[in-house]
Amino acid sequence: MNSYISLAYLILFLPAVVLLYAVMPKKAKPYVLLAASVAFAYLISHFFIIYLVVTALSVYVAALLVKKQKERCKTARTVAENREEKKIIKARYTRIQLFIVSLAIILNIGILSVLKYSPFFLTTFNQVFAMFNIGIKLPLPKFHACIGISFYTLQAVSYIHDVYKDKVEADTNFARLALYMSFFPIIMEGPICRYADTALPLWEGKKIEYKNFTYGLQRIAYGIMKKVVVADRTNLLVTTIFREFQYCNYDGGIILLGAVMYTIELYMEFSGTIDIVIGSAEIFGITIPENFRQPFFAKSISEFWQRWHITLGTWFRDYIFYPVTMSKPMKKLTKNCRKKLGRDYGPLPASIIAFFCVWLCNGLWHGAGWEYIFFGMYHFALISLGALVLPLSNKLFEKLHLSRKSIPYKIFAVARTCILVCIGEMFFNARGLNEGFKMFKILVSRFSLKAFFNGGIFTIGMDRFDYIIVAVILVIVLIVGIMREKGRSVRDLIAAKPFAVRFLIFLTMLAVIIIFGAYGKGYIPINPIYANF
Amino acid sequence: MQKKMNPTLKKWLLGIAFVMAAVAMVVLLSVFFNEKTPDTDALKDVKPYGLLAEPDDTIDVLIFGDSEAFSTFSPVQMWEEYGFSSYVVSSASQYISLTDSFVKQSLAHQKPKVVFLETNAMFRKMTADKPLESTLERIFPVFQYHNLWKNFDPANVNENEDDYFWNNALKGFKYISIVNPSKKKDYMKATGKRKPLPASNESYVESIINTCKKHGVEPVFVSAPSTVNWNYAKHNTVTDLAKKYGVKYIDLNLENAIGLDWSKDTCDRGDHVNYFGATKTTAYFGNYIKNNFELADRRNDPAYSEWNTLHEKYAEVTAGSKSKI
Repeated sequence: MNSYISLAYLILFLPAVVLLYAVMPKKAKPYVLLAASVAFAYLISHFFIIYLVVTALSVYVAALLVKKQKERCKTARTVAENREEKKIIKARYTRIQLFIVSLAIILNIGILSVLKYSPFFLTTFNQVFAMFNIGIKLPLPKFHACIGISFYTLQAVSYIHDVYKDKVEADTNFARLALYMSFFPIIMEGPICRYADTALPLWEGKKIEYKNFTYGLQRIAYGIMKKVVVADRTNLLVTTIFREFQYCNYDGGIILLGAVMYTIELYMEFSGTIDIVIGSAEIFGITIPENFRQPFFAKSISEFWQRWHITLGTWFRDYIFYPVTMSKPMKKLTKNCRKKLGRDYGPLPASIIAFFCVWLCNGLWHGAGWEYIFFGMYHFALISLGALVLPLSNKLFEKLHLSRKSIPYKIFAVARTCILVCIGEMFFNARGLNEGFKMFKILVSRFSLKAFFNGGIFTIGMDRFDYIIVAVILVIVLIVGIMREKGRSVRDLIAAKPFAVRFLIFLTMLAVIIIFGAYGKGYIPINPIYANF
Repeated sequence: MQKKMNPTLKKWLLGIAFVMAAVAMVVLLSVFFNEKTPDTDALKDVKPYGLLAEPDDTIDVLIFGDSEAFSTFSPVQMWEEYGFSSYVVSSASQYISLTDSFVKQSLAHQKPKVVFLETNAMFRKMTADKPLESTLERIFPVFQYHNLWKNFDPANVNENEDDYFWNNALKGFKYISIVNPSKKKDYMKATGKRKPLPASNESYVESIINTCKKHGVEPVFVSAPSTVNWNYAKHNTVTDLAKKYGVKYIDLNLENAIGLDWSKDTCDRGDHVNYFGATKTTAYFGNYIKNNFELADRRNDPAYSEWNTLHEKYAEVTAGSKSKI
């Protein structure tokens, strides 16, 4: 079992857990989920599940220690004689709590950094040593991490931080916290859940309801269709175009096609998997936060990141952007800048510093490599530029009596965002930063649409039938997206139809997956892209 | 007054009806999509299935394995040089469970003298999915043959039960002319270590050997040259397996007489040999087969006249490389 799309998960693991969960009494249901989650983590990570156990235990203990300090602080403050003394007591206990929380965060981010980033940093050091002819060559260690470490580590950090900030109570039940950390549908590719939203519903042991069950299955089927029919099909074309040495043979038009197709593939793979994740949890009556909200309807890069991998964006917002902008030096900077630069531009320097921290972390989170850091910096540059230009462009729009709400502007803004995103993804998928720049150079200097007219695009991994299938499914996804954007639920709409219509719709969907799925001989399914993060 | 049905019972009945309708649909689709479905080249993986188009009992040597097999061994070259017929039944990233089913499928139609099993797939780790996939494909052929939809014509379904419609002119060989050198040259350093086979893989190897023996065919292990995929620890494991099951084993990674030049003879830094490497390896391997197994020279046999025309297509496909040799 290596992904949620595997047969072992879909026809063995998930049905077995659902069955067991359904027959168990209410009190035992959460333990069924916990046992299933531990089994799932073991099946995908084997012995390396130990890292997950260490993380869960460390934040559990740290949170209880923080809780104890808070209680002691409260008691000490009640016997304090005046406000000054109360303040001193609070500061003393806050320092202790901060020390505990920092220790827990350093430990967990440390594990993540050593396992994921040490080869990258050591290689960089070796390259620097070689550049200056220093005869040192550091050995490169080979580490195996627990699958999903980048996801559950962020959940662990958010939990301990929220306990410290009094947003949630420290959990005294280790099993409940362990289930929140390891719940099997989210362990591999997120979404990154928050303790406050997820831990208690998970532990409730809700009954499996007919509606949740059928809606969950429908969401799973929709996700499978996106992944198997589209993402695995475009994979043939994408790997052909992006292959080392191969892309040099193509013109800019094909490179652009590769960038667009890779972006489609990434979206269909990741959002399809998230559909399966959310659908799986829905069966048990658990609502997992959405990770995508029609990202290609975004009118700016900033908005795009509020619609794409939402839970990662909000995590960076809450645990990096806000703490940085609200820190004392940044507040001081904003105050000074307001005086010199005025209201519009005053807060920008502090925001841009915070954006830099967010996007550096975002790039590194996606992978240990210069191409990922570039990917982060690319979006940092675009978002910062957007923030810098916004006051100016607002004035310009006002003077020219143009409206950002007009349809032509909206179309322009959406198209501009899509193009910028596709270029970013091209660097993201290139075999290294150098290769990314070479591809970009070909895209600009050798741009031609010849292959689109002479049939060349049908010879690089996808024939015309493949393009038709991809186009049809994209139209379906677009329609569903438009309906969701308007706040309408497609599943509610279908559920209101007579059973014959419902049967027809779902059987057609099943037939589409079986016949047009890009699986079996000759196709190599994409590995879950985000599971490696 | 008509009595209303209990809502829970209604939901259960609807659920059961849907499952039954879905199964019926899959069964129906399997009637339209199966190995007899007429098709030309819509099936993505024509190489291994091309064997089904060969007349029964006409292939002398069968070679099974993953991409190492189809990039290394050229049946047309072996025919030209040694006069025996062969076919490479292999596909990219093939799992040993699939090799097992290919062997069973192939030996139902062919009676070769010898079956070679390329050893790289033995070390490919399988997830629980693979046996599940095979079972599903066996029960409902649509899961295996669904890709035929591109050239699908319902009018021809099951028209002639004995006809298979796709053929492979290179007899399973894949021509790759790209040169991408390997720097790794000392990858076969002798060691006493063993690389263990992934769990359950040996049972498939055993099954392949048993199938061969059941059909009176000699199974032989062969390791194709690869600086990326092969090493001495794997060589030791396969040597042990060969001894255990009484099977011959030839490791082409240790045959220096082939004369491979890893700066020119690989397409992907030593992962696979390219056409130039394949030409050298096939010449050596063909000679090994000729010397170790009694195979008739069929070049003058009228029943094999089609094989004497293959060099034309082969020359056409490999034309671009002749000047580079």
